[in-house]
Amino acid sequence: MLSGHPDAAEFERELMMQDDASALGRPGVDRFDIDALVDDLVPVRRLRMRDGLAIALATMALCALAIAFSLGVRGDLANGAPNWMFILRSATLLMLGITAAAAALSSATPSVGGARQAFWKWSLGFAAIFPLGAAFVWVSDFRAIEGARSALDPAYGMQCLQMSTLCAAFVGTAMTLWMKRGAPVSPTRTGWLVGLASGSLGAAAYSIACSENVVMYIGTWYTLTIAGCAIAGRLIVPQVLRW
Amino acid sequence: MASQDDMLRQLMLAAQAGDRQAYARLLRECQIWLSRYFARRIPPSQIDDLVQETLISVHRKRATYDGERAFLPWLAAIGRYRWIDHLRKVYRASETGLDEALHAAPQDDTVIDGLSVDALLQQLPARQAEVIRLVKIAGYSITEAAERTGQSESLVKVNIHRGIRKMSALIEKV
Repeated sequence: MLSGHPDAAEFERELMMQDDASALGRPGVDRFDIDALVDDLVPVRRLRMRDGLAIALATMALCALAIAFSLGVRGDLANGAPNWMFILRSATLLMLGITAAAAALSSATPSVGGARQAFWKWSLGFAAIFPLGAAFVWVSDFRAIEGARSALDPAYGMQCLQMSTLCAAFVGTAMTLWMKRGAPVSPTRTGWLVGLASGSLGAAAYSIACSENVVMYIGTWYTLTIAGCAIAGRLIVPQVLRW
Repeated sequence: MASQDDMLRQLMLAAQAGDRQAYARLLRECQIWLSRYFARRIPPSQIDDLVQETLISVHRKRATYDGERAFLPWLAAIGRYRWIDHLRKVYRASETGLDEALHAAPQDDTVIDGLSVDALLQQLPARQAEVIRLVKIAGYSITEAAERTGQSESLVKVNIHRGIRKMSALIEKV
């Protein structure tokens, strides 16, 4: 396998010398254990982040289909003319979900010393326009609060939270099972990211049935969903991923 | 050092494909490297056990190595994880918690950066990395490097100076 490498011969000579050294009893070298591992060797398929991402997105798509069949699709989307707020909300959720999922899944391949991409931080910053917008309306426009009171009714918002969380649970479980094959060296960080990603993708799946376009509603209930999923991810996922 | 990493990378790729001879060589190299790595971190009496545990992790998680990246940072990440896990076990009895921040222990990154000059060079502009490789690693003179790269001698000097300064900044930032 190494015959094509220019330094192969020199390296083999070095290794032969090291073999001699180990035979003489070099500290820390135990041939028996290594031989046992070598005997156990079988070819492996390399773990690729894009496979995990495809699984996460496929799970989200299945959840969206289940939501569409069980709750129906919001009217403007069914008519082929979605409201701009729906487009903005969905794009934000998908962007945050995909970038956080990519960061979480790439941590399955460990490394130190190299800079990791952190697009999810930019996505999270952009997604903050919804809770910040809701907070701005809360403190600045009491008439808007009156108008949005029905949208903030927990009886309605709880459905959003519950269904989004249910979808997030499926996505998070799929991601975690895939991650178990990996070697995440910072399980806490990975747990946060899995929770953030699954919450965002779960909310995106439910979003096709949610008819609300009010920023206060989105900023409140969707934020609660994603924050709750991130906390759940932090608490649950590291326990599962320890290796 | 970069050639050592490249060699280990080749061995790991062969091992992932099922080459037992390459795998045996790789594990022996890893064993030596890990023994040195742990020697500065735990008492000598515990080194062998931790090396064995880490090698088993290497074996179980060998599918996670990405052949397009350097090998030693991958091995070091696994070694560091097992080391922290080992410390947790050791200190659990005395109820001493270890902070998750250990995952980012800066001294480890410095070690790996020292071992992976190639990874640092990849972060430099191509013209700077090229002349640093030629002059500082391969041993060519400024004049020879200028002829090989098509850069003027003064530009070679400037690029080496800027490149090394940037590498220093990268190490401090990690």
